[in-house]
Amino acid sequence: MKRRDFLKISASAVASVSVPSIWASDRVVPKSKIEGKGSFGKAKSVIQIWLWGGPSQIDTWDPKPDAGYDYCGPLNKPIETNVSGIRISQTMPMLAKCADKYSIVRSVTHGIFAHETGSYLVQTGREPGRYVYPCVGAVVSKFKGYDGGYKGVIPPYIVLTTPQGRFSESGFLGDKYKPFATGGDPSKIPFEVEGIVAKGMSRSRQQIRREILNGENTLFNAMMKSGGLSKQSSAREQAYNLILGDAAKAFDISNEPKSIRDLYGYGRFANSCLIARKLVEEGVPYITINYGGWDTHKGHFQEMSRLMPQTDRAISGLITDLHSRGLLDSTIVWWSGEFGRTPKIDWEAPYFGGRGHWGSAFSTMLAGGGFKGGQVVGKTDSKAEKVVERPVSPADVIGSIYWNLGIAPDATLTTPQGDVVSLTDPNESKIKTKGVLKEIMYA
Amino acid sequence: MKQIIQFLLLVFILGGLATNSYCDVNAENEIQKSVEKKSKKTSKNHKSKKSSKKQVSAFEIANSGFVIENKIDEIVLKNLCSKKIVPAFKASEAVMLRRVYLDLTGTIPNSKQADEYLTDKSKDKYERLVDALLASDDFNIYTTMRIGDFLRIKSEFPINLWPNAAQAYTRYVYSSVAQNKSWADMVYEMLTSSGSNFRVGQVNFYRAMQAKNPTNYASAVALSFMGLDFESLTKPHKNSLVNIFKSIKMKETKEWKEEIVFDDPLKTFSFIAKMPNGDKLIIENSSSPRVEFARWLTSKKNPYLAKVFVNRVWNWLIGTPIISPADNINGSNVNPELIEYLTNYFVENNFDIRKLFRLIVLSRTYAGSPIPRDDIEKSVENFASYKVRQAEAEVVNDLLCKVTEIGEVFESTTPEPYTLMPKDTRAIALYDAGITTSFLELFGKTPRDTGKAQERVNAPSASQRLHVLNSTHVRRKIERSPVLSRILNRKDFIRVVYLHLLSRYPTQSEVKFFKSVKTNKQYKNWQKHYDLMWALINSEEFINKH
Repeated sequence: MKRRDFLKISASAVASVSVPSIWASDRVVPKSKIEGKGSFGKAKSVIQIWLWGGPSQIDTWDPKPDAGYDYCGPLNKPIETNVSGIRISQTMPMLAKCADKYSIVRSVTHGIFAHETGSYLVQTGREPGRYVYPCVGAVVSKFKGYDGGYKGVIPPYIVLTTPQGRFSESGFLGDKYKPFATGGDPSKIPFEVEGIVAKGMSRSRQQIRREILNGENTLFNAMMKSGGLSKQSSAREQAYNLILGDAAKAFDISNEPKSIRDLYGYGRFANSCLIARKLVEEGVPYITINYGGWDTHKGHFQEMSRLMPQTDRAISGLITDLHSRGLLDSTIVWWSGEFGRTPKIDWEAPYFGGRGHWGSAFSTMLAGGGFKGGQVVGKTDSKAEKVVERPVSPADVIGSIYWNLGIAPDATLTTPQGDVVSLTDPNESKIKTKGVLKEIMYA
Repeated sequence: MKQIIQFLLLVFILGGLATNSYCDVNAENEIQKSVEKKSKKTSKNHKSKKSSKKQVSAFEIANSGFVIENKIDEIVLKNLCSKKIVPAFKASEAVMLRRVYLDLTGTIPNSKQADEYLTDKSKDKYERLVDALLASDDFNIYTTMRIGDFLRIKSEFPINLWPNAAQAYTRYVYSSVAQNKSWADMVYEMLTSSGSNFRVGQVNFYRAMQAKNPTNYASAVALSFMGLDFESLTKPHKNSLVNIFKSIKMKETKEWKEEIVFDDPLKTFSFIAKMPNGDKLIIENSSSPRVEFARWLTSKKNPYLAKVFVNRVWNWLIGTPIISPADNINGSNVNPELIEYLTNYFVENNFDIRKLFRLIVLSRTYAGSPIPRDDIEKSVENFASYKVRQAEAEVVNDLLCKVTEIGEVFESTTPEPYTLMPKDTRAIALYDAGITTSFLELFGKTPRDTGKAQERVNAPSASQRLHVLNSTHVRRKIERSPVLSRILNRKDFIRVVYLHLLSRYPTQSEVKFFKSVKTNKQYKNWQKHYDLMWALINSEEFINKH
């Protein structure tokens, strides 16, 4: 079977398969069938930059300088990138210098204007319905983490710093696949990662406490012979591996050279990106940076002028750093929010220059991990309001990411009800698309 | 040698069967002797044999027999004898105190209550304690939470009840439990009521699901009230159940998100509904077939309603259900006679919820030690010993708040306007699965998306342990707690801290260990008292129901 045919099949994967329970198992199609086919399996890790609230497409990846002041506001002078023919918003001068490393998708669409449903759609690739599906991070933490032979001490799915809260990341997969939220404030050094680094508690005191706990754990000692609390015990041992082991170093940026700190910039988001790189170096397969503040109904341009410089620097720094360490080829960087923002500006009270939610057309960016750089997929109309070419559904984006991670298109999950379901179903979307992003995946 | 003993045992049992239906008391002692001989042989080189015996005594009454308290015990003992499983000893008074408090009210006694109970010499103190707990408001709150789990009381995605309706629904369940309304009456009301989702709480039964249509209503009824997996029914049975609910309609009013649930007055239905057990319901020109159905479901002859409820309650209290999984009466049944007896008891006592709880917690079976005297899996599965298990997320949360007297802030930012719960709200009192914290999520609080028993995960995990061991959250609670710092300064610190945290007195070896920590130079100037309290909070005894 030709590679192209295989990719075509992935675009029409069967939605729900009823199989006898003896066959129902969560499995990835054996690698031997697809290994070596293009970008399949190139990526080992994902750094997901989740712009919480819905970032504007017209003020980032899809500028429309000819749409007039009511659409552009003051941001009407897009800039050339280092790839001829590609222009992006003037808000991202540093990313403009490394456009050869990432690809822009301008035609993502799902038609949902609500935060919760939009987040669910974009992060799971699924329409709301019978099951609550796990998001990409949870799926990766399963197939490339807990059930994929991951041996690292650091949990395979990390969130910097708090979980999204508008939906269940692990869906029906359950608690085991929930992200490990670091908590704390990465702009502070040392970064007090919840549970791993305890302020003012030395390593030796941690060890002494452990001895006291062992001495006082009377019920455990009484049950030891029967093995009744063995799960609890191994859970505690794993926890101590994190506390007393080397895991804390992955979150510690205090030893990074100044040149690197300058490259990313400073502050919460910049430090989070740097920590994400370190976690990738430790082999963590999935890191989400939950980056809030993008729901700019009011004072949109003031917010953008506050957020964009640090965002631009940090992400371009991250991509550059990953590339120079030879990590970009195996690391996907995925920039997205739950939707975009209304191209027509709300000038009146109470918005005073704001943008609302816009789920009809928005942008996403993908770099590394088998995705080509310097490409643009899809087109919107002259006002960035509607998709006119190559509509892309969230399932297409996610299917592409799974492919690059080596998670085959017909991989399945088993729900608590015992039903076997596929990860995505491109036929679910009301909008007909061409399937996964073959244009930017190495064929 | 073992085989000879087993042969003798068989003779005893067969002899016993001729005269009465359960193990002879002598046979019980024979089993005990053989187990002790075995353990003596294997533990000859076990250094801590002496100390482990002392530690065991804090939790159980050594060499206590299996004394029949009620019919449950007769049936369970018969099953244990036939499967040759040795029952555990009886749990100690301190263990029973903490256990029954947790299982009935989701909380533990304070140190004064624990001390009073443990020093009380009266013989009926346990029974009086049970009655007091059943009469308490905490019982109402905790039972409402457990029922809310399988009714799916959740205001947001994917159930979308909406906060006002979730509150009304929870309040309905709570006041019904508080009035000791029979379970049959509650189910009848939930199935047949009409009215506003805000003002007639029980109509929300039909709204608490992922999509509102007759198939889903039927599926929810099958799961919540019949213990049946709707998908596994035959087509005619499925169709019948679906047809029962076709009269239900919902309409909006001018009030934001209010919905009226009602039967379509313009439609009448005539059909014969075939129930899964073979019963036929004749629906004739009815605009509300659900009333006929509700009458059938809540009648004393109905084989489903009582059975699945009894199985759920048993699971809540003992830790493992009689039929697995807990919400499927066609699952694997470890003791058919027991479930039949309990079902009949529940029906004969008019589906009285408190009477059911009382019967179970007064049995000897419920009072088993957590330490098994046989293979632990077989022991737990057949109720020979009490299943040690992690408490529910809400209970763990509330325990930490109670022992430190520092509460949590509960709020929900979806939907807007935000929901802000009053200060010091307890987690077991949360009326909506959508009001949650990362701590509760970490400890397996059910999202109430499907209402299935397996949705709540009480399994231990490394992240949970990490949190209690080392998080700022728990650390602050311990170090800033006013009540803990008062205890620190007491002369009888160790006695009070054990009463306060574990509802018992410390054993001699525990007192010895504490003194050794206190005088150990290796521990420098660190706050030893805090570390000792921290260690008790992190011990398995604190976080588990045992």
